[in-house]
Amino acid sequence: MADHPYTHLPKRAFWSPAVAAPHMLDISGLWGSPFQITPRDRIVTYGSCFAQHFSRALTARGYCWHDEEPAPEGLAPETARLLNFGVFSARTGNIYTASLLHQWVDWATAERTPPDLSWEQDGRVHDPFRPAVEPGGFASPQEMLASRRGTLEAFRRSILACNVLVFTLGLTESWHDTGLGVEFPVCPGTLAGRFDPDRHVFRNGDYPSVHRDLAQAIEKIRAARNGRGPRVILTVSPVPLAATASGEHVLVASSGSKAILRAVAGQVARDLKHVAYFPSYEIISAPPYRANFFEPDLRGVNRSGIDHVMTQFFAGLPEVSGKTDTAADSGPGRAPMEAEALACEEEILGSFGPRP
Amino acid sequence: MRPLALIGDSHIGAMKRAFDGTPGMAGRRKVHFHPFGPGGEAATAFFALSDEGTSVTTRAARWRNLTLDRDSFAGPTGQGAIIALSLPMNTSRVLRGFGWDRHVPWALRGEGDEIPLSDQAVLRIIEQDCGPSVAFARAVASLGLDVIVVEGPRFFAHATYVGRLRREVCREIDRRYRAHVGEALELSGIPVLRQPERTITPDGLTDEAFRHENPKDTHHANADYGRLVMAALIALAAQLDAGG
Repeated sequence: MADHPYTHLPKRAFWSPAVAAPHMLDISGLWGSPFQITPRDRIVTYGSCFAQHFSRALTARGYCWHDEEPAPEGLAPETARLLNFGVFSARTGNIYTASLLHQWVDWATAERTPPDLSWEQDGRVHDPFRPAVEPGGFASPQEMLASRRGTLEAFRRSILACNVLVFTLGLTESWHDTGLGVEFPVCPGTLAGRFDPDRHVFRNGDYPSVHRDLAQAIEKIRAARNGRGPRVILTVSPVPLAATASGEHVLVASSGSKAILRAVAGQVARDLKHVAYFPSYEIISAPPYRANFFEPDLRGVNRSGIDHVMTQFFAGLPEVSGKTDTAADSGPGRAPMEAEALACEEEILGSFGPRP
Repeated sequence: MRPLALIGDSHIGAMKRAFDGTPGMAGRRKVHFHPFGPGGEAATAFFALSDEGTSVTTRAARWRNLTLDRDSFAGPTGQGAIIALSLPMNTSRVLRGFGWDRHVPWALRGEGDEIPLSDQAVLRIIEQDCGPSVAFARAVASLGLDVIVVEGPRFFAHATYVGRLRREVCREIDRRYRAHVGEALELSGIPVLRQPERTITPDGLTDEAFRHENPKDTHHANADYGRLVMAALIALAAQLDAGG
């Protein structure tokens, strides 16, 4: 038999032995990180809602997921979650599109300034750029703007100081204010605000525009760091569109969006140094998995799917040793409380104990 | 004249020392003291109301626990006691426990990496801290006992747990906490015995003249402070006896 380029390819290059033959959970070798990620690396995560699974998984595995805008220590976890702490590395809310990431990077690097725009709804004030971050909204525009400034500064610190940035692309569809030249993460009038057809326009990113935004966002982050990092992992959310304004059927629109995002992520990973693509999208959505990883609504990803994605993610990282146990870090603040308890016990003993 | 029972956190120590050191302070009124233990436990689920709703039992790990019912501390003729509770309005827990060196109310954000918290976030922190002890006060009142909540002293300037924090942040958290707990108790019809005015400095701290007799204790007040509180408490108890 003649020798040809396929002769010496590994098994994973062939559908039949790599995909059709094994059980779906045994399909392996789906990715390999081109660079090392160690537990000492400061990893930050942003993107669509699927990105939040990375923070949890990284923390659980002893990696250094960095939260630049953490919840106050001691705040009950469920309350912190409600207030959208600990979801991403700053309280940006979902950054669904490459263009929205580009906008946040421009704001963080002072290339542009976010407008002092606010949305009112039922007497409360929402941040148009983080409309769901504060449950029920803020009490005043001043409070909202102070919160946004804090988040923007935290976002800036996080992208300047991280070793690894994980960004999850979610959508190509977006809504813009033509007068202000800004993009919103949601259509005005849905979560809050009021839709104005004279200034709010729909845009559906195509391959060139998504590629340009994503590549420029990464390059601007690196330029702000004088070319020193970060390493970047791109991934595409497997969660289909909840709705489309494109005029297409939502199934078709979703496929189109994901195809563009998938293609751009792969291309940017090929174009730029130290950028990798991790196939979350394929691991959940590809035919061999027969939609087993979706919730009954065929949109949400179930726990098994998330676990499988993250297992594959870690399997593709080069072997490292010496992981630290972040769970063992009790954090500051405990010591003063203990000291206080002792002081109180002494006060009680002094006032109520036996007298000399 | 109903008996008076002071129960709660370590701040009742100052009142106990004042009471012990001032014979006849309460006249013929019988006064009981029952310290639970460290106030930090008060932010946990530290009590349970019986299924019948006739008793409340504390169950904190490091406390001298107590079961209260209508007859607890009752007088010889069965008069129910007035319960003075020092627990829900103690701001030292919230000031120590939530990292106010990094997180600040949004309007007080200064330079550097301080993280601004919305009013809602601050309120949720306060509710998390005071919720169980306010619920305890309500549960005790539900037994049919008269309950007075005794406000704990504001922090001292020399308190170690505020040393690394910005003073204005501490004052603001302290102010909001007391206002929130006060409103919650007022809604339940539970009176609050406020910190004596003369023990509070113009900038809202507890006057150093009332610091603890032990210089190493930067948190609790002294017997002079306890005397002022006890006098006000006994006067309030008399009002309640008179149906006021």
